[in-house]
Amino acid sequence: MKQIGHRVPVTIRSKLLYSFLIMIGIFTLVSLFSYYSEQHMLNRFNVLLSNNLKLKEFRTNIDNVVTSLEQYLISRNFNMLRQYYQYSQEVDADYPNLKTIEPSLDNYLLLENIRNMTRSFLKQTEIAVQAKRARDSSGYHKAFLEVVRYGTNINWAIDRLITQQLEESSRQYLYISKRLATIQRLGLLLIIGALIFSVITTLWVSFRLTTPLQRLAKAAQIISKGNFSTEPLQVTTEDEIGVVTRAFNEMTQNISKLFAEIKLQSDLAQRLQEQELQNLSMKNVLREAELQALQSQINPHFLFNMLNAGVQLAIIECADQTAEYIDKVSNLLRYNLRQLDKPVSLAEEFNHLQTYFFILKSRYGEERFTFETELDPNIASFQIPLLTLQPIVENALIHGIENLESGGKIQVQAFLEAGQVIIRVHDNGRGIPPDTLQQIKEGQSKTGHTTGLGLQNVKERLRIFFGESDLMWIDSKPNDGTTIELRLPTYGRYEREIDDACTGCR
Amino acid sequence: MRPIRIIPAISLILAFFAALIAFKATHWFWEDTAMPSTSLNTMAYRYHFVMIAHNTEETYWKQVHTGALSVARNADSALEYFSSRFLNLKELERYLEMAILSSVDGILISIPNQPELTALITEAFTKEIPIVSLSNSLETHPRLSYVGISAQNLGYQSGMALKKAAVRKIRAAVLINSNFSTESYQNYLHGFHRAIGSDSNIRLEMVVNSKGESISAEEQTQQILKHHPHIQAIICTDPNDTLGVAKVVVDQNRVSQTLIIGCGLTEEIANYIKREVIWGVLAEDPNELGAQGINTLIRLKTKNAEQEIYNLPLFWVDKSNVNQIYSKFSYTARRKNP
Repeated sequence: MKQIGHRVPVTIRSKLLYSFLIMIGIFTLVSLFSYYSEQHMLNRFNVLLSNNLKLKEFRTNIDNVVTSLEQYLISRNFNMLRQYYQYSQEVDADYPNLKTIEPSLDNYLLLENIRNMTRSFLKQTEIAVQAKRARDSSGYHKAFLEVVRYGTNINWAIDRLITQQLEESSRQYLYISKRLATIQRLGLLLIIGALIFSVITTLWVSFRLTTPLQRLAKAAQIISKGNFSTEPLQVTTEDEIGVVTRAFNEMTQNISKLFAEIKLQSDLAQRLQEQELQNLSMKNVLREAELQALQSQINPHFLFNMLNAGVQLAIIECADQTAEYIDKVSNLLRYNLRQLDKPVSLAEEFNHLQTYFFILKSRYGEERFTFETELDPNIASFQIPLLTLQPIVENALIHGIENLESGGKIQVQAFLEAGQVIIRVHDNGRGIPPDTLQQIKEGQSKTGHTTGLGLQNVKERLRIFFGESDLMWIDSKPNDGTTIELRLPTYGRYEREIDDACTGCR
Repeated sequence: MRPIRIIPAISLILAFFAALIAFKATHWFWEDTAMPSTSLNTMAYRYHFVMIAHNTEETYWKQVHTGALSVARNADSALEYFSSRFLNLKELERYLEMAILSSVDGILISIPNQPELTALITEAFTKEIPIVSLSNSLETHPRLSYVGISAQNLGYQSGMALKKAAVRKIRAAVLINSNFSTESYQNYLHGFHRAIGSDSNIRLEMVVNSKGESISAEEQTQQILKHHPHIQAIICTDPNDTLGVAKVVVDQNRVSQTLIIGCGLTEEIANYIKREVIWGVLAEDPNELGAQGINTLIRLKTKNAEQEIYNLPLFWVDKSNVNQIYSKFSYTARRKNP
């Protein structure tokens, strides 16, 4: 299936990079997580302790204010007054910024109480100082008692707040300790998980990298031994190995294709060579036939002129039979002297056979032999080599019916059967002796009688003409006649003619 | 999915789940769990009230505090709660003094009638800090508001309950909490006598001042039953007294011979009622006590009223309705403090 869209190939480098980055990322996360957990807890403790210390310092400053004020009221010492102002200023600066790290409702309200009381406390101290300056002893005494009362309550409230915060801190310490233990367990789990993941990833990546390479190496080994019929390797990745695998598959296919083409060309060359050999052989046969024909010709024109003169003489003498005979002989000779390499139609061959039979009847008499020919008109134009049938008929005459006193019969049939032109020559003679038949089949009977062409010659010419062997079949039994059958193919250069001729036969 | 995509995909999924687990496991750590969710809201309060109570009974006062806190929250007010489990006057004094010196917006108190404490109450009034008493133990003050049960009504209802139970001649003893102010003491007895009237079946044999503590009540009950074995009914004005009397009656196997009419409803008292050790108690809704206390303080602040007296309804609780009443009180507590 064609893939839609462009897929960005993931290279081996990317794979390794991803894997390592992820592993590093996980370990970094775990480390950061542990680091910040501990840092957070430490900060929390720091805040807890520092806040309590601040409250304690504030409490001390309250005490210092009371002490320095008392000292001032008793001694009216300017240094004491300065100390008082110093501490009261510190208290005044500190109290709005007092904080509770556990801002529960109770703690927050307690802190508000401390702030409110401190505000009143500072007012009372100021009243006491002013009364002292005004030398109002009852006034500063009363104010100082109020200052002490406020101071006591502020200290009590601070102590209560510190206690509550310490209680809360202790509770939180235990709580945080449990949390930390949980976080440590979680961190341990994360580390173990990260380790397992790293191992799995490493194995996975190495497996993904080496398996295709192993398959590639195995396939290369098989192909190096000349076996190109292996199945294409499956491309499972889009990385460099995938590219190499795909290229390897294409290379294997191309080599296999090239081998097939070379083999085809080799077969064609071999067939051409065989064809050339066949042509050469046919030329030799033709040359031989021509030579024999030349040997048998003294002077064809002279002979035909003489025979024509004989015909005219017979006509003058009113010897019609003689005239016809001489005319037939003349036709026979003329046909025999035609060029052997030019094919003739079946109709011509059958006409020739009629002439031949006429001469034979004239020679042997009408009663001794009967000749029958039967040609399918659809195949009358079928082309065959010259003088194909006469040697066969002659063979039937000589080996079959020549020695019969009477009743000899030769049948020649030509018809179309199963896409082949069948020419059957049958005689009812004594049959060919087995040894002679064997010689004929083995191609040892080479000479004919009238034409000088034997059955072997006919067989050879048919093989060259049609390009196929085994076109002639001989069936002979002693005293049961002989049947010679030619089965000629209709394909090749004669096929169209046969088609035209045999329209309606198939 | 192509195999190469699996590694980043699995990694992302693992990372996601790891982060999720880490967050789930530690989100409590990163946020300040010590901070109550309501604290930020309550910091922006309109009034700062303080509730100081002599915590005579844990469950009862928890319900009172719940009722008060619920109303305070609805009124955008903060409520600070101090309690003393035992009768520690110094501690109660410290709480009250700090509240006054801190100039809070109002104080709910349930403290004994002691001079040190009443002096502080007077100081609070001079500083224009309204105070509402949640008990009947303090002497009447022109500016001291009161939310709770009427002592006279309590006495009357107790007498009526005894009258109903006295089908034959019966001799009774009454344990009155010594924290009752003189006026409340007299009102209680007045109400009681008004109820029993001239019923010849009832004879109030003795009136004993109790300390409002279970152990003390046990001792006093033992003495009563030892020296006055003819006492057939004991009437209490305090939940701790009621429990102490019930324990002794059970210990001395006198359940069928001694009629107990108590005051206040706790889980333990409810169980005694179900077992028919206590015949019945008179009780107010503790949630309502706290709620009306805060409401009174708010009214005093907003309407600039000098004094308010709010008497809570009394419920008669016996075996027939103990489950219903107890569930009602408990349900109210749950509803106000979800």
